Amino acid sequence: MLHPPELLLAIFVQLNAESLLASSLVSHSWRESALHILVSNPPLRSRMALVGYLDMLSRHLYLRDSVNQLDLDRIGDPLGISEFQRIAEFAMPRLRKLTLPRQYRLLSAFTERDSTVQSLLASAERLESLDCASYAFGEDSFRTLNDLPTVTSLTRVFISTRRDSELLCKFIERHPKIVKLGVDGFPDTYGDDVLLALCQYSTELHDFSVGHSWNVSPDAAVEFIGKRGPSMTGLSARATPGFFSLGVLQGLSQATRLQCLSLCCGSTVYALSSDSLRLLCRTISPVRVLVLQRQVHLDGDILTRLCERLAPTLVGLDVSGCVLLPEESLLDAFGGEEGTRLERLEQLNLCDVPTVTDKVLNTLATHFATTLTCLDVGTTQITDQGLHNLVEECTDLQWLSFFTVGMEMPLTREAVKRKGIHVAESLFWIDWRLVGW
Amino acid sequence: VDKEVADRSVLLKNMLEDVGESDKPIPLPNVTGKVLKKVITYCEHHRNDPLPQPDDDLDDTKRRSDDIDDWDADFIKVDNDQLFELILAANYMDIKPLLDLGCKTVANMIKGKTPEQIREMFNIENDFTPEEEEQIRKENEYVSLPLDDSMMLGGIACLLYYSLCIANQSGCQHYHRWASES
Repeated sequence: MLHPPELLLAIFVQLNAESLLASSLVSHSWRESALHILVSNPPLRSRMALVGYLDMLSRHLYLRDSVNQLDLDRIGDPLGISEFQRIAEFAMPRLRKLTLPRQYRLLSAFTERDSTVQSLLASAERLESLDCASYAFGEDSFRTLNDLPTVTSLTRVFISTRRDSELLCKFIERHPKIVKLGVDGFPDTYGDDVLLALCQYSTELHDFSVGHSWNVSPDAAVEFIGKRGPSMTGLSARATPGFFSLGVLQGLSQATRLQCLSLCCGSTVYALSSDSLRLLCRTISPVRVLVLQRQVHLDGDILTRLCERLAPTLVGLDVSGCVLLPEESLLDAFGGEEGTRLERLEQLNLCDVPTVTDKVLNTLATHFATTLTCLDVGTTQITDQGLHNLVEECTDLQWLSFFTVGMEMPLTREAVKRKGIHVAESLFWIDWRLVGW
Repeated sequence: VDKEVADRSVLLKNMLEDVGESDKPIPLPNVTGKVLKKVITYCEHHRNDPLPQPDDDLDDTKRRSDDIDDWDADFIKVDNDQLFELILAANYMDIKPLLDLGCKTVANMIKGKTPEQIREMFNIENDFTPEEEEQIRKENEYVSLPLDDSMMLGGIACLLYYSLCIANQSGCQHYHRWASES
């Protein structure tokens, strides 16, 4: 009826598990295509679909024996522990490839969640490839992961360690093809060994994030950038002074493939100096996303230089907490002349920038009416009028935050309510937690 | 047909780029005149739509079969033979949105049907041997059982749980949005 078989597959990817099972009983060719999807690319886009699929696996031994791939990150709903227990029982032993869901889709306390993931991994017998998306491993589940004998491909791992960098180093040595690694831990976690292990063993790494206050020396960070920088597309360091050194900033000139750079301060003590920020303006590649949270020495002149360099490419900018930014520089960055204005901006975080006023909002509304999708203007000086203009003009706004701590914004609750409800139909998320109200 | 309409087909777009400006007809040996007329009607209606991107396949919203708009639903109301001819033409001419529309329509026809009903609907021969049928029947002996009360209650419980999950979900998005970028 329909040849080539790809057309049958194109139809079958639209079906739920029950219809696929019925289709598998129609003829030989239908059976081959339907079973291929059921065991390799099951249609799991909701929690209900997953529940139905697991129920099917529990009833049909031949499917259970054949299932080889599961992508839990495609499921748009939160998942509970019971689903994980059933996955461990009915799917995990035969799976060769698994994608874990994002952290926030697992609804339970961290300890319970981590032990659930640990049990899941412990039931794997054939797992070869694991994509951990944005799941943050705890120490126990990470140990189980590290002990899995069959796994040869691991991508996108995020691990929150205590002080045991040795385990992490062994893990890196064992998984040289890891492409995305995020590490987080406690302020006195010693990270040089980990960076040097990445330099020595990792061959595919292109995205690395190091989290809160890791104790990384500038020398190790410079070596890391020198060795891995040219292939990196994403680099993020949060309150990690070793990564804020001049050597690293100079080394960034070699990171020509970089798409996303994030250098955030946990506290102002570790902020980049003015000279360091000026150096960054000269060495940074044309990234798409730049995050410079709480860089308190970021002033108008530096912002202008960054805009000149990044105007054609930047779609996401986070300068939250950069208190030295003057209003004029923001107006130039968002509404100045072509070539110096950020023309492609879609996501912007101006939270805690005290000079953000209605004038800035009006400029955003004028120049990014059809492109701005995400905006954070918590703890700023905007008023009802600015908010009114913004939501009237920016028709594609999907995410808007006024979240404010410790002070009252000159914005009335009524305006937020009225505009928040009336705001463009596309609005997906509005955050109006205002502590003063 | 003007170029804007022809460009909806990746096959034609590439051919036109290869031959440049020319008045010569472009042969489409695998598409009948009747089907081609129908394809052109579709392309003319969708001439201003954004062209599909390579990573659209990763977007799960594109895989929903219940999001067919009214014009498309009316357009695709044809007999089975013409529907399959349209799918084959869309595949040959590389018109992804039309291919998706055809596949979604067939998928909607399959949903909720038994294997026998599917065979009858699409005139498909049952090529399983009696032995194979018996084996498959054993493997799938639960397939045609109706939902019992406990499963219904389970479904309701799932819906309630899901609602609670959504309610508890707020607050995480803020962090996630920027964390994912950085």
